[in-house]
Amino acid sequence: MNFRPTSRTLSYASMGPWRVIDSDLNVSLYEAATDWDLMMKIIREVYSRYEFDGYIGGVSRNNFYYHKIFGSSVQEISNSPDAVVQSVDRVCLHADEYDDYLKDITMFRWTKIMPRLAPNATYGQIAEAVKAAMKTAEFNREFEHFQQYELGIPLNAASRSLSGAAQLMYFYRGIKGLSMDMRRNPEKVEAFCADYEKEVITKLTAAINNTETHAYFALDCSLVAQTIMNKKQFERFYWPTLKKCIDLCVEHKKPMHIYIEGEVLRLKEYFQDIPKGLLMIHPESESVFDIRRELPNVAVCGGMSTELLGMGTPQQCVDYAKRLIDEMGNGFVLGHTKSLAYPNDAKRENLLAVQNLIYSYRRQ
Amino acid sequence: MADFELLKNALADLDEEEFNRAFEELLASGADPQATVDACQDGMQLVGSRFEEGEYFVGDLIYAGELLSEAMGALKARLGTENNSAQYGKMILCTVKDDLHDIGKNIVKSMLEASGFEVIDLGIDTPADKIVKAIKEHQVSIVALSGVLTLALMSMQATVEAIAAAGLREHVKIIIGGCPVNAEACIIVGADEWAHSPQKTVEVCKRWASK
Repeated sequence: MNFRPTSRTLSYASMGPWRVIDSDLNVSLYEAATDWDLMMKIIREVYSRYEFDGYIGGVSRNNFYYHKIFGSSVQEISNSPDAVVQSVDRVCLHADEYDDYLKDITMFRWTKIMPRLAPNATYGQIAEAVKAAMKTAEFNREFEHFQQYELGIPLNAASRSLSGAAQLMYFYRGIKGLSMDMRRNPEKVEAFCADYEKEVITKLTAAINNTETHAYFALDCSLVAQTIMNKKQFERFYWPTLKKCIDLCVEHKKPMHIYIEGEVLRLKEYFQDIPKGLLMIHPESESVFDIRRELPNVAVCGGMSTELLGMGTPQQCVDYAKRLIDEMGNGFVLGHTKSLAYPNDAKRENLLAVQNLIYSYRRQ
Repeated sequence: MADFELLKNALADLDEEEFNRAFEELLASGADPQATVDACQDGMQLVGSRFEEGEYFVGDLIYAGELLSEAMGALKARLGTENNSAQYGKMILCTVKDDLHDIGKNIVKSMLEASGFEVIDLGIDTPADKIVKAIKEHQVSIVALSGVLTLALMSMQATVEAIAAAGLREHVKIIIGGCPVNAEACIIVGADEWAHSPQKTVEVCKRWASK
């Protein structure tokens, strides 16, 4: 299937906390993540340095504020080597509480989940956290304005979603809890996912009907929880919502960007009938060459591994980028396999070398 | 009437109700604890095989590991303080420094123990010197390092270097596992083997232990 040729291969960045490490301001991650003005200075400096064509996960997901206020958050903040942030299994919803949760979600979040995340929270701390959330939203608006109107780069997507299953895995039950629930209480997991679906579809519908957005995609979706699901479980807990999203986008001819952690091709049957030009798949670890061969109808983003960007030489990175550009052809965006988060995920010289190539090299 | 074959198949089929029923019946009937352990190990082997074939996935391994852990816990008292099932001897397993993830490690631990290893689990965020100390203390010749973050590769490399600096490298086989590992990473880190699947980890460790 032929994709429309572009004048050059585009490049995408998936830039997380690494931007703080790369900054010449030489501040710690903790400092930057708890000072929005400082973070904005870093973003201006780092984003201007590399001139990517697009950014994935642009707005900031930042739990450091809540960690600073409450002493804990949904993620673990390690102070070694430099306030590394990691998602660890944290159970906020017990296995026998699904029905209570769905009966009144707001009340459940405030009366059960909040005390579990921050058992010693005071009203003063909660008020601070609300202010922090408002400041975060303000920061994200400034961030998006900077990207769109100063760098001239469209936002990646008009709407972003995880699935109910991902919500369960990341925020409520943890990996182990969800694994047990899918076998012990599948109908409860199904009910949770069906309820969460309403929010996903509402956001996507609004994005599709938004004629004023300049975002590349109508939907930016990350497939994460399927990394623990067998195919039957994926079919039951993940696919119903994802299919509705895909069908909506296909119906309105709006493109989607789907980042897929873990294996892609074991799920290829779900993507092979999507019309060309509407889906860009971005694999975390599976070979982009294999995906191109097995799913010729989808555009592909990715290919530049953090292992190579972090441990290779500029020449190695450039040579591999050339291979990607030459062999993947049209319908390909050069991108990072994982979000740049840790010091060894990339070296500045390697990123610059690849970006210089992007602007000067044409497919052979 | 419960029997070992039923127990094995119930675990392999991830039928928790049947597994628990068969297990309780075996305990109540005074069945040989070691034979019960062996049946669980055989069931776990089948789980591993079905994972390799693509029928089961990570969540199923976690579920099976949980069923197995609960059963092993109940059997430990019957087996006494000495672990008679550790036919392959001791080995070390841990998540490396700066990485706090342990789910994959715990799945591998369940399967290694089910296969006949006595696993010295050093936990998460394990510094290199702690691993070196454990190697000396327990006189092990197999070390399995786990990590999920890309950061873990640096810690794995530091661990291998620390083992070498302690003069132990030639006496120890090292396997690395987790999301960021692959053949290239294995070379960079200096490990002997790498694995993404628990089954491969078990097979490699058994091969090393048999030499």
